Amino acid sequence: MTIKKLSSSSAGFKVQLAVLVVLACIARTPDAAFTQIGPGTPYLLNRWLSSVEPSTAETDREINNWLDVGYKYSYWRAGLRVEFHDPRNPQVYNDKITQRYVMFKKDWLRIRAGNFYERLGRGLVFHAFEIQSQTLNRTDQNIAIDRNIDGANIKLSFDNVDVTGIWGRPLKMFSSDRGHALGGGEVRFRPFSALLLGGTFLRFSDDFLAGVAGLERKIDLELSSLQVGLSLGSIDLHTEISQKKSADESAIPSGNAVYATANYSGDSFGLSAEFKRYEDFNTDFNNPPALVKTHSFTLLNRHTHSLNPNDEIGYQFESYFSPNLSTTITLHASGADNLENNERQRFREYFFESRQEWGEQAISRVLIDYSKDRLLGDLNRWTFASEVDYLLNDRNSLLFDAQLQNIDNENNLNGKYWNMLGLLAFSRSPFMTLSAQYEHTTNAFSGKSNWFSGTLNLKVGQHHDVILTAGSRPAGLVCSGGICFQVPEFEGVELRWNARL
Amino acid sequence: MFSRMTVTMVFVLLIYITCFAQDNSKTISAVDFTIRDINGKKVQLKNLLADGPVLLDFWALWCVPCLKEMPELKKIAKKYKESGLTIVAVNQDSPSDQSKVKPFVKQKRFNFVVVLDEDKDLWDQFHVNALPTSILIDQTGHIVYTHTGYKPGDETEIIEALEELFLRKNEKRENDD
Repeated sequence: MTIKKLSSSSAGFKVQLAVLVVLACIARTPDAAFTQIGPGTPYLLNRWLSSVEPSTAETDREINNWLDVGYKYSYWRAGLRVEFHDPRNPQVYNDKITQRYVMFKKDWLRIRAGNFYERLGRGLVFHAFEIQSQTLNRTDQNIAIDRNIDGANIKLSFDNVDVTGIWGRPLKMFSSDRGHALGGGEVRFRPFSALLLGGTFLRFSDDFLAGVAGLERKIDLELSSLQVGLSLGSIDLHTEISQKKSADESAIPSGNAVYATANYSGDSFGLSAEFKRYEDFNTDFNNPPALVKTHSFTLLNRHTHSLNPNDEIGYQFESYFSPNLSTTITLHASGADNLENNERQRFREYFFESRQEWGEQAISRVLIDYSKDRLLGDLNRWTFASEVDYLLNDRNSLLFDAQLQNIDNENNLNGKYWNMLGLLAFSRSPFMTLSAQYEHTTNAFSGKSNWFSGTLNLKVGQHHDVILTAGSRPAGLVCSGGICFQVPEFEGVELRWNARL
Repeated sequence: MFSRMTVTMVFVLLIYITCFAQDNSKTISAVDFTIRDINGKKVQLKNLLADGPVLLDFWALWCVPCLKEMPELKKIAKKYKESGLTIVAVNQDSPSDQSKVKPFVKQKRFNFVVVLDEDKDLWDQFHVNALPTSILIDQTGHIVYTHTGYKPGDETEIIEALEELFLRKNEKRENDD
C-alpha cells in the first residue's frame, strides 16, 4: 500500500487512548442505553479502520476513524463528523471536523443547513451520496466515498407535490477542497397516483484550469431535466431527459442525456429494462446512472464496465422468474458502447443465476456469467460461481463459496488466465463469523499468485461489530451500490470496528 | 485547521460524554416519517403504529445478507400479522438499480411494505451505518431493538424481541384491567 510510516509520535498513543475510552464505554454501557433515538437524544456512529502491514521494508500502519455525533431535540437535529486519519493524506483528508449540520423537520417541511446528501430525479443531473463500508459479513467491501455538499437543502412534501431546493459547494473529485457553489431544485407533481411529472434545474459555475497561463476560463453550466413516470399496475415506465448548456463551449461542451426504464412486475415473473444515452454529459460533481450490475460474487466485481458520461449508449435487461416459492432464476443482459482513447469500446455481459432454498436446511446459488470488455482488453470472460449456506442447527451455519474465472485478454502475456476464489465460513448467530478465504491467479501481470486470509467478525451487544482480518488479498475493483473503486493489494492485519450508539 | 491533539481530545471527549451521559431510564420515541412505497403511495409511521409495532429493515438488492434475511422476514410477517406487526423494508439501492426493486419484490411475493429511501432520509434519521439493519419500534413509538448484519439464526433474536414486546403489552393490558 502507498501509505507512509506512522511516526513514533504521540499521535498513535492518543488514538490508542481513544480506543481504550471507547472500550471502557462498551464495558460500562448496558445494551439498552442507546437503543432509543428521538427527541432529546444524543446519537453516535463510529467507524474505525486500522491496519498493519509487516511485510514491507518498514512496517506500515494506518489508522482511520469517522465519528458522527449529534443531538436531537423536538423537531431539531444537529450533528458533526470528525475524521481522524494517520498517516495523513493531504490530497484527500485532514484530521478535522469534516461535516456539521443543523436540521428542522416537521410534517411537510425539512430544512437543513450545513453538509447534506440529496438526489434529484434518478440522479441524472444531481446525486450527492456517501458510500461507507456498508455490508457486514463481507470483508471485501472496505470502501468509503463521500460526495457531500456544504450548503443548504429544503424539502417540501405535500400530498401530490414534492419540492426540493439545494444550494452549496460540492467536493472536488479526489480532493477535500470544495468548488464553487451550485444551486437548483426539483418539482415533482402527481396529478393522480399513476402519473408523475417532474422538472429539475441546476446551475454550476467554477474556474476551468487549462494548465496553461492565459487559457483559464470560467465554467458556467446549466443542467435541466424533465421526468415522466407512469404506473399502470404491473407495468411501470419512467423517462428522464436532460440537457447540459455550457456558456463557453471551448471550455466545456454542451451535452444531453436520456435515461429510460420499463418494468413488468408479476407474481412469479418480473422484468426490468433500462436504456441510457449520454453525450458530453460529464460534470465535476455528478455520476449519472451507470447501468452496470453490482454483483455479489467478488471475482465478477473486480472486472466491471467503466461509464463514460461523455459518450455512451447502453442497455440493461434483468428478469426474475420464480417457478415455485423456493426457486428464483435471474437472467441478465447488459451492454454499452462508448468512446475511449478515440476508439469505440464495446462491453457486453450476460448471466444466469439460480437460487434454491432446500427446505429449512440450505440455500444455494449457482451463477454462470459471460462478458467481454474491449476497454479492459477482455475478449472473452467466463465466470462460474456457486455458494451454499448450510444450517447446522438453529444457531450455527456453514457457508461455502467457490468462484472460477477464465479470461482471454489481448494485453496479457499468456493470453488466457484463470482466477480462483474459495471461501469457507462458520457462523454462530448472533455473535460470530469465522472465515477463511483463498485466492489464486495465473495472470502473468500479477506479482503474486496466491492470497490467503482469515477473518473473525464479532458482534458485541446490539451496537458494536468488530472485524479482524489477517492475511493477504489481491488488488482490484470493489463495487458497492453501483459505485466501484480500485483497492490496493494488502498483506497484514486489519481491524474494523463499527459502533452505532 | 485543528491540531492533531485538539482533534484527538475532541474525539475522546465526545465519545466519553455520549457514552456516559445517558439516562437509561429515559423513554424517548422514534421520529415520525412519511415516505412513498414502490407503488407511489405515502406511508406514515404514525399510521402504521396505530395497528401495532413496526419493524424497519434496511436492505438493497446487491446486499447478499439482506436477501438471505428476506424469507425469514416473510415468515415473521405471516406469524405476527394478527398481532398487528408491520414490516417496512426500506430499500437503499442506487438510482440505476431502483427500477429492479419492484419486479424483484413482486415475484418474491413479499408480504410486507417496501419503500424507496431515495434521498437516504430514513438512513440518516435512524443513523444506519450497515446493511442489513433491523429496527423494531413498539406501538408507543419507542425503539426497542436494533440489529445489524444477518447470519442464519439471527431472526431468532428478532422473534425474541417481538415476543417480549407482546408479553409486556399483555401484562400491561392485564394490569390495566
